[in-house]
Amino acid sequence: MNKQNHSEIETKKIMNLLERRTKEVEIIKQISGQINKSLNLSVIASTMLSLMDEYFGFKHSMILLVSEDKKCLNVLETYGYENKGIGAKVNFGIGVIGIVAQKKKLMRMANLGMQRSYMQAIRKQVSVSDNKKLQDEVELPGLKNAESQVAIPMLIDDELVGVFSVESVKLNIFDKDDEILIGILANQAANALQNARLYQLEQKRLNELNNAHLQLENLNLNLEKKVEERTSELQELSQKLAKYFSPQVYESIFSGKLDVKVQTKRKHLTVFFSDLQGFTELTERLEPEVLTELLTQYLTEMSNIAIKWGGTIDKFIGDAILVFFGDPKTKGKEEDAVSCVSMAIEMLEKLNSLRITWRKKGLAKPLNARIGIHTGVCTVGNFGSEDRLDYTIIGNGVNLASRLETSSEVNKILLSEDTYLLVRNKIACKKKKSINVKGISYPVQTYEVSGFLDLNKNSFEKNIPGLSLSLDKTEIEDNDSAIKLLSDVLKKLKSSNNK
Amino acid sequence: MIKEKHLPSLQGMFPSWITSCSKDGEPNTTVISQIWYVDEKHVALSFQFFNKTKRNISENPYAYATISDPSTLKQYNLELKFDHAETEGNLFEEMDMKLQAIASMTGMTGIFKLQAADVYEVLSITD
Repeated sequence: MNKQNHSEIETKKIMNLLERRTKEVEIIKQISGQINKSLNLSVIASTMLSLMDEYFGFKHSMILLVSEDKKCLNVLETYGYENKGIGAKVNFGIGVIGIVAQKKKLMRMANLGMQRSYMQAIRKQVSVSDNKKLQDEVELPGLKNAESQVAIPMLIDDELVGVFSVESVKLNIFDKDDEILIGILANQAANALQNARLYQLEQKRLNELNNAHLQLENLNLNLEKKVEERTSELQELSQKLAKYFSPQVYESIFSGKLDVKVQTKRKHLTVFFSDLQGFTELTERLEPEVLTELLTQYLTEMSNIAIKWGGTIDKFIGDAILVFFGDPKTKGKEEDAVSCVSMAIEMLEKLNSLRITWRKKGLAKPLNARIGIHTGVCTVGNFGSEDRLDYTIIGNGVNLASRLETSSEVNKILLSEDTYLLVRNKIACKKKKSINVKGISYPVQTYEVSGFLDLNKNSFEKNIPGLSLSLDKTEIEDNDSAIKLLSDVLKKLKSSNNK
Repeated sequence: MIKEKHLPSLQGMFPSWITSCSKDGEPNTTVISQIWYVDEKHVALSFQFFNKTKRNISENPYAYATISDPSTLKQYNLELKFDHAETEGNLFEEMDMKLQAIASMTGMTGIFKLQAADVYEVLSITD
């Protein structure tokens, strides 16, 4: 009878335990199912806290998370407090929660009120007797009149994620049997919270990345705009500046081929010099406005022709123009000389048509030009000081060109022999008298341009056995003696035919 | 020896009394916040300051404690004999944690330090 009773009691005990365990498993299933539904930290935490009240009757609880720098805990969510106190900070090692976080062990505290009073009493004694400087009493989040508290570390692989804390004004919160269950649930919550945290972090990073991307895009856009603005400013400026330079020089400077510093070189150049005869006289008779217009028109037309033929316009001195060929670009000594003379011929033609226009406008006295061209070695480059540079040429060659210009007849082009020798295959010239130039010891033979050479017209060369005929009309000084020579040859040939 | 019914009295909810006696036979009774449950045959007292109890026990290992059940106010008397002191391990840690938690709340971190967990053998419990 007694034995039977005993085994009945045992069976009942086992049944009770089984029932309890079944219920526990059910609770774990329920709670972890709920808290894993969300990826929002606050939602997970508040779900957890209200479920803990539902299943265990915890009326005052909170979840704190380890801060990002891992130096303290912050209240993530509270349940059952008047003041929610979210965000409140708890240092490691301070209070029940701080100690639990530090030691990563569950702690049950009972009789808190009395223990605090006891400590405060000692504190008074200590501070009076030892005159020690004590830390301030710490205000911790939670109930002011809590009698019992249980704090459970929330761990993932022994790493602290946060602390789950329950407080009560009652003396005892839960019995030891529930401890394991609550520990399991706390770790479940830790997992859910960590997942949410990682998700949030990932979202945050993604946002940051997107923002950074946007900023970069904006920056690029602005940068492009700024560069564009600056470029157009520079372009405008350089276009203004360009008018002060010869296009070739300008291009060389802006393309970086020509350094803007004092430097010169010796080069084989063909130098062109032109001047308007009677212009000085004209300046006295015309209104400045008319004169400016006239000069501008003339120089513009001449410049265009110079540019067309690839000349480097060195400078304008009033109505005089100095152009050279061979730097910074060269097509070869001969080509440069031919281009220069061709340019001069075109300039004279242009002046002719300008003269007609001007006459129509009432300019009675025609304007006539004189042109001198010489080819020789000159010094070309940037002359001047560090602050003010002039890209120009100097040397005897320039003087000679100028001298040829003054010796030239109006509306004619006078070449030096050096130039003539380079162009004679393409340009028809007449030999003129020699001139003396200061700085040059020998007299300079000059040639006057008469036009482009018509090869068929001006030269002739034929060889048959017994007879060589070579004619260069430009070389012939006395036409009559040439005709006479040929008549003699004809006579001789005719007489031998009769024999 | 210690039964389930005694456990609520050993959770520090109500203060306990402890009486010790010097080698000359002079008794001393004092209030302590908690007597800790170790196992069926042992309890522990926290040693923080060198006081009269500590001095008496070092001369005479026997002591007498009174614990109270907070819900029934029922009192139990224990006959104790000092067994050994622990300065590490689970028991020491648990006691130390609680001490630190309370001390830190009142701004006295470092002042309250658990020196040792003094383990006593329970010779008898009388209702």
